[in-house]
Amino acid sequence: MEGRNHPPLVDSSACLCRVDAGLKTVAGAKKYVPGSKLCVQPNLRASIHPSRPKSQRSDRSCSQSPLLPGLPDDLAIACVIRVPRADHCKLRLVCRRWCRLLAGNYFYALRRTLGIAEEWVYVIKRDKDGRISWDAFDPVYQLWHPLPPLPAEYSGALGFGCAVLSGCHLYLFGGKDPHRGSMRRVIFYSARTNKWHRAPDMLRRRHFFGSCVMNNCLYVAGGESEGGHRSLKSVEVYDPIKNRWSFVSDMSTAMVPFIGVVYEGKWYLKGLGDQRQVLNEVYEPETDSWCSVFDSMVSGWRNPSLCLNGQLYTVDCRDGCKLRIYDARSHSWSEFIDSKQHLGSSRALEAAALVPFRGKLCIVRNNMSISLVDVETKDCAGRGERRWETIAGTGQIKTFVTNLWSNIAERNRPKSHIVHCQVLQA
Amino acid sequence: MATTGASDGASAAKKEGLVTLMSGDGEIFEVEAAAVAALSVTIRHAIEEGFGDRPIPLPIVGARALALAVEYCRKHHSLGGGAGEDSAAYDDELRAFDHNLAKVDRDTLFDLIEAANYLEIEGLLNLMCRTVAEMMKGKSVEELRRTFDVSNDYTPEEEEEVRREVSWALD
Repeated sequence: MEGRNHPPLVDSSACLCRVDAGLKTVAGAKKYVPGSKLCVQPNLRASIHPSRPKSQRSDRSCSQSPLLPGLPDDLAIACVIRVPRADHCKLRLVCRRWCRLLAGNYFYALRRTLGIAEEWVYVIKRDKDGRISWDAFDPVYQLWHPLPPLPAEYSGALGFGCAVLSGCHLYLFGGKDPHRGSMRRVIFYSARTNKWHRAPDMLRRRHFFGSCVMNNCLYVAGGESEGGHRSLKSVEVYDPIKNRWSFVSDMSTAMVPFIGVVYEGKWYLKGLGDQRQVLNEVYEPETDSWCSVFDSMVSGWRNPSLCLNGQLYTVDCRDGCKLRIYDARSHSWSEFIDSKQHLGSSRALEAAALVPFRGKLCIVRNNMSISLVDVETKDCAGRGERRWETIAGTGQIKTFVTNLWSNIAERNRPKSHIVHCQVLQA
Repeated sequence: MATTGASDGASAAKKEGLVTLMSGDGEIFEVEAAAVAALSVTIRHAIEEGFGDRPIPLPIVGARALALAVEYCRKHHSLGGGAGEDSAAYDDELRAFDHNLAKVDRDTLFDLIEAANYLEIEGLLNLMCRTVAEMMKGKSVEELRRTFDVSNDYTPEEEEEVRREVSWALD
């Protein structure tokens, strides 16, 4: 990954002529070139670092010590941005300047521009006592990383939403606090600062609602609110640039959504209405309008599902060993990718989430095992198993015996399950 | 390796396909114009601007770094045709060469980074920056300060504060 990327060439248009450097007579120098002829026109190459004699360099930087003594700061930054994300916290402890560099958006914006930003998979889970915790998995180094604890209001919350804006901000919003009830609260974690921050509250208190991100705006629809368990039909949107929530058109009926996906620029939601009937609605952001749908897409649609590069995927088997693809031309869920390695049908092995990871489809199971599926490669039919790659945890259980063992073991083990799963870049 | 100081700069320029480079500390290098021009944007421009018939002064590039950079250009020109690391031409031999080239001390690394930046040899700049990043990987805070001569300017209270902020990540 890193090999493909280039450090920023330093941008300076200073004159390159440095007489003192050319005048030094060192053993081996055969030719003395007059200083005046040394001057290469500066407009020739605007992106070259100006030469500076060492003494001058230290004079200039006396107010601020260099990031890496011996290197101009811009080149030092070109080195430091290549350090893997897992080491960034340590870099901050080195000195004030390193800390400031690592805490600034500049550093991470550069990493993203150069394509060396690293993606981690963030898993939010609930243990058997209802406590919420979270961890991050680095698929490149195949390591789990600890994270700063979740703020107290979400440590036991139910039915809250989770979404990523701007690639590096993980939002938690709404939900039901066991003591204080339905919330309007919105918080976000920045993968750049490694901290939690507050964002403006939603306009309505709600839990068990649907949410999605379109055009880097966060949409929230329906759900329940405190008092009589009435379901909501209201829909609101948060724009991080305006930093404010506003209502958009209501859904045609109130619903408690249980599955949603953005497909072909539209937001599909499936949920239960007030009479527990199954409802399907679709929202078009351009026209700000909702309408009901009853096509074959929604009828064959299951949780979890994911839209990746315009293709819609859903699990066909609980453990995610087989995936179903929606074919828009025949309007049917007719295509499959099969790993031919069924893991088991226990809750621990259940595929809890599908997330996109570097163009691949990432399956996260309740036992924290993660598989990557190369869905793009169109190889010969029936060779689906080649596209599967297990990158974390206990997903390699294959045999009947180990499978059985894990089912038995699970009965005595505290059960936890995944509530949300996202990918953040930094 | 570069022919060092063996010939007069002016006469060298007359030789077919050669270009003369002069390092900041005054050493003369006579190198194949095609190889360096293919890899170094700076040299290519200098030749295009008519600098090819007299020594090209490279004021901030030291002789040792220049020799290594020239070696890099030659190797990559002859083996990879100047191709990037993604291309099929970037074979095991080049990889091995890069690997060996990166096995230098910290000061030489820094000189090479400055030289690669000045000469605009993208591949070399990449390689060296990655090598420095690699050196930072997995080191403790103390080791980082020692390796890179960075002095700790935190007050004990400040350091404690930052340490507390990232404590969950250091366990």
